[in-house]
Amino acid sequence: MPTETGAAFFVDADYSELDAANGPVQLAIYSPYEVSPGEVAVVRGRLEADLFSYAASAAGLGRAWMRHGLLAILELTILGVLIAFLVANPSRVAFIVGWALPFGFFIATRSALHAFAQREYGARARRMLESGAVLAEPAISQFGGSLAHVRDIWRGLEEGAFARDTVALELASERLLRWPGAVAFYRSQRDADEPSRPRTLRSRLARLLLPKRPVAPLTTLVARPRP
Amino acid sequence: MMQLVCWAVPVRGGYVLRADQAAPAAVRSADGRRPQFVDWEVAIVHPGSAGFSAERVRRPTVLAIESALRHGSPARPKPGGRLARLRRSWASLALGVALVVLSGTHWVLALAGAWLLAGRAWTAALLNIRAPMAPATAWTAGGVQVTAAPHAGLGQVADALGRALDDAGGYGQALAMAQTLGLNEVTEVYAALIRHPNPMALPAEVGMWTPAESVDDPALIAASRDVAEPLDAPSDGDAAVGTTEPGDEASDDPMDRLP
Repeated sequence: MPTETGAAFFVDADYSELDAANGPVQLAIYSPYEVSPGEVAVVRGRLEADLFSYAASAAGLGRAWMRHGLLAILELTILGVLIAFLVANPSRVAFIVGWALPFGFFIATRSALHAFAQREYGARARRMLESGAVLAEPAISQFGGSLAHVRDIWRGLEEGAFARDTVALELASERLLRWPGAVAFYRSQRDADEPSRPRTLRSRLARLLLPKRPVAPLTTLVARPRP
Repeated sequence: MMQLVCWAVPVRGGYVLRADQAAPAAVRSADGRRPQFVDWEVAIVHPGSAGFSAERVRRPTVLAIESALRHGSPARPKPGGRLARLRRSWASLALGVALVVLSGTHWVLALAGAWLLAGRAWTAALLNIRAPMAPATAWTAGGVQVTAAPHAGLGQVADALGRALDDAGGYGQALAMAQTLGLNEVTEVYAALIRHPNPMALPAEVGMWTPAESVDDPALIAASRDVAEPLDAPSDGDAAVGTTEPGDEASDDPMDRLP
């Protein structure tokens, strides 16, 4: 992919969707340049490190979700008994602690919901960790959607359809190519130079309540100078 | 078969072997894998030297990777301390304390407080909800296979190094080229060499120096000469075979090589 100073490889794959049950993973390299064996080795080595590091970190997701559910049921039962007690015995204590009950008694429920929502990701990560493999020989410049995208972005740059600028390349990937992987790549390049934005109340609430989808690392692999 | 990468960075009189930045993560991630899937292959990327023998640098390569494992981040992230757990669940603990303090003689409130303070964590431990620790690291240097892979970028760096007359200038040129190419490991080696130009005295975390004589295999050099000689000096009969018309040369423009 073109960058402001040259070019870089990036991996356009959602590791959380890769399943070792479907067979070994094959790396496919799309590049307008001739790629030397050493570069292929570096790309493959970093892909493997990223893929299995992700699998190791996600292997615990959704594990034992039924036991999480059991704990949540136990906690909700105690909460039910507590609420019934406070309703039956209205007092100052009920007003003091009643409003704060959700902060303390929904932690196990939240963990159980997260574990249930992430059980497929965790199962896939465990399968990848146990029996996943990356084929030794990568496919280089085979036909596929990704190849057309790579060709189009280089051609657009050559023809002056967009500038050699991270924001322009991100916009081109989003509007012209409709390629989410490239958008994420250029956004990561841009975010590396910009300070992170402060979290809003909405994002904090979403982070607290919604089950988080595991995020695979997006690694810039090898850069090249501008041709 | 899991692949690791080791960089053979060209320096004056030899190479500095340095593990790729991804090597520690790759080794750590193998902890939870089945043994039959954890065979190690180390690709030694080099500048394309004709006599480069991977077998001859097997030992320093393994040492470079083990050095990276030692000097890298810890083998696995440490479990969160008490402070981290307290930060995550302070609201729950505060509510638990409040319930116990306010309970008086009401056992329901005391039970709820005890649940928040200790009961939930105890029950989670009883149900074995926490993920088990992975077994010890799968890295063993014994069965490592090594292969050599020429790297185009390292070739350009070696050319930049070779063009300079003196060591300091050469390392400066090579550093600039490595930075342009985005080769971080190579950049770090040359940055260290500019500070201390003796590659033999490099710290282990920067790389392992290996003299060229112990890397280059004379048989491989001779074999490459045998292949190259007919091309360098074609006979009269072969002269027409390699002739190209003007304009037929391979273009440097990457767009021309697009499929």
